[in-house]
Amino acid sequence: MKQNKTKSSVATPPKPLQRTVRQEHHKQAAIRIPAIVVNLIAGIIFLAVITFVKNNNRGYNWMWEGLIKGNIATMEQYAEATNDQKNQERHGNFFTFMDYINKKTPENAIILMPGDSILNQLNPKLKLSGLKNRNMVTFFIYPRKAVYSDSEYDKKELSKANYVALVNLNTAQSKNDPNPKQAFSVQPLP
Amino acid sequence: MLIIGTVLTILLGFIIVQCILKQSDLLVALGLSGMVGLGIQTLYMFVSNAMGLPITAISTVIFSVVALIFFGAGYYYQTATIPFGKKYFAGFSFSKDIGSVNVIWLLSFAFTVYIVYIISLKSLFWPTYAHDALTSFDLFAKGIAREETLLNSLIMEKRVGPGAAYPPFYSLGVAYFYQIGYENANTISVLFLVFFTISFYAVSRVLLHNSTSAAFFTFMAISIPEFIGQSAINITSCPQAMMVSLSIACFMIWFNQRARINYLNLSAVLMGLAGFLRSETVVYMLPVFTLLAGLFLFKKGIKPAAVARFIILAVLPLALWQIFLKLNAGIMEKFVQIEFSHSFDSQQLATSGRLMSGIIFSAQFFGITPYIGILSLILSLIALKWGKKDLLFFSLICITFALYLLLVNQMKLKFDSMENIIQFSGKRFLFGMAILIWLSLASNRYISLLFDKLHRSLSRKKTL
Repeated sequence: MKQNKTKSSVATPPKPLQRTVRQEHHKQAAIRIPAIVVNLIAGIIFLAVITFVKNNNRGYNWMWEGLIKGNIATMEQYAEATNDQKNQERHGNFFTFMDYINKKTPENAIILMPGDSILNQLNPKLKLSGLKNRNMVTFFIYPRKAVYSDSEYDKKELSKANYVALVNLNTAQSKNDPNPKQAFSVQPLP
Repeated sequence: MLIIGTVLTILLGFIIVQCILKQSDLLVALGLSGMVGLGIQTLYMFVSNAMGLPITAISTVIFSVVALIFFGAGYYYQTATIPFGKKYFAGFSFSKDIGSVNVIWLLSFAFTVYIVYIISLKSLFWPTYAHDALTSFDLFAKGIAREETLLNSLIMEKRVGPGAAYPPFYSLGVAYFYQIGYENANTISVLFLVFFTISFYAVSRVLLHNSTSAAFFTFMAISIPEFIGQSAINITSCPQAMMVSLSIACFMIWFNQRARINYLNLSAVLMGLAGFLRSETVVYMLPVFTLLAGLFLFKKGIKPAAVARFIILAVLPLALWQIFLKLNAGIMEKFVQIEFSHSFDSQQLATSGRLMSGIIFSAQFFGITPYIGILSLILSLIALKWGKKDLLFFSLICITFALYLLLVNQMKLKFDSMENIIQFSGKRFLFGMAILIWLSLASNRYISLLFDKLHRSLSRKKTL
């Protein structure tokens, strides 16, 4: 019995202390900062950190200014453009020529493309370098086939070519007539 | 057909993920639905074509409907005894997350939605432009869609780039989109980006048990500059990084809570589909397989059947593609650009390592991610006294990177030097690891405690 009494007296904390803890708790609750204020402060810190990182890191700066803002501006600039016009914007005269071939030839056409000797003379500013890339040309004219005399994969198809794509170097690079559209043509082969 | 085809893809993926997870975290199933649905459809397209059937929209749609009925019935019987509320809302609920909204969650959510919206808009606005997409994936897809076979005239006459030798998930996915009526191949990039963002939040939410932390780290992962820049482009690197990082995240959910074996199965499916996008996924598979084997050998709560199931599901799609390449070696050989060297060149390894470290620490490509990696490593080492989980997660990323370097070192390219490939494409190899670095920091014990405290004080919630 004696032992029990001792235990209970030890286990129970003194009453005044209990009151103090409760009072402290109430005090803390009373001065608790409203959630909206805490969120406002956290939001300002969050935005400040994000802005700091964006302004001081090349990658994030590019992402925001170039990728996001830049693309919004470009999309607004070409808002009314058709798919062909967008392709033209990206691929230049190369797309114009491919589009021309699509319009002038049937789907089963096999088109003999200009050789390297001609293509290498083209002014890079004309943006026609895609003509050298057999796969790139195929992308734009498929299911038509482009064949190149110097390609090992086109040896069998060369004799089947029924059209020839022509680039008139004089017209294409003439200073007097800068419209390169007139420099392209595709003619049926006899 | 366009709407039916798209809805079927999402529904099929949703039901399959539900079947795997049984009692689901609904947002996880919704987030993964697009990617898993398209992955299963392209697997069907590939296998059926390898068996001689043509690849047509009708055939894929019929398969999807049959699979939907099959998995739907399976799911119904699996969960018939589970009450509706528990069946769909057993895990976290997005509406509850919105209910306990705070400024960090809200700003992270708003920024993420804005970035994903602009990038998606950009993708859909422009026709295909990237060189690899034009000459390989998109072109190959055009050929498949029109000629209804993988071995089409573009392959026979080599009118397509080396991307044709890549596992065909992406090209078949674009081909399916063309066949059901989409005109812009970039739609697939949007599908991956949107569904990845949802599922990354959802999976992080399950892994981290904290909506604020999940939203913040989703925002940071989405904001990796080069990753988000390339997400708008029609190439395979970003989708593979998305699938594989989600797979590792699901694996970590299981690793942290062994009772959630369904997440291990989900991880295997995602790993398998990542392997069906790019062969180099093996560098992610090997550390996970080793870890699983270790856990099995040391009897740490995994059965041999679960290990076997994981390995089979993860390897099968890639293995099937490799078999297809071997069976059609005469035709496909000209697209394979890589040969493996049996000799070890330490000098090339040093060069590759130097070039890679230059890429990793380029602020232009990965922003602050490498420094986050260093922070994650330091915190993982400090957290060792509480357990090895944090360090283990970080080690998985490091071993994957080491295997990548080793793989690159042993590769010999037929038409280009390895230095050129690392300089121009090396950044793409690292997207998956960059995402995982953010996730490793998020799941670190100290960062978790910090975000728990932050969430409680901002949301004024006693629970997460």
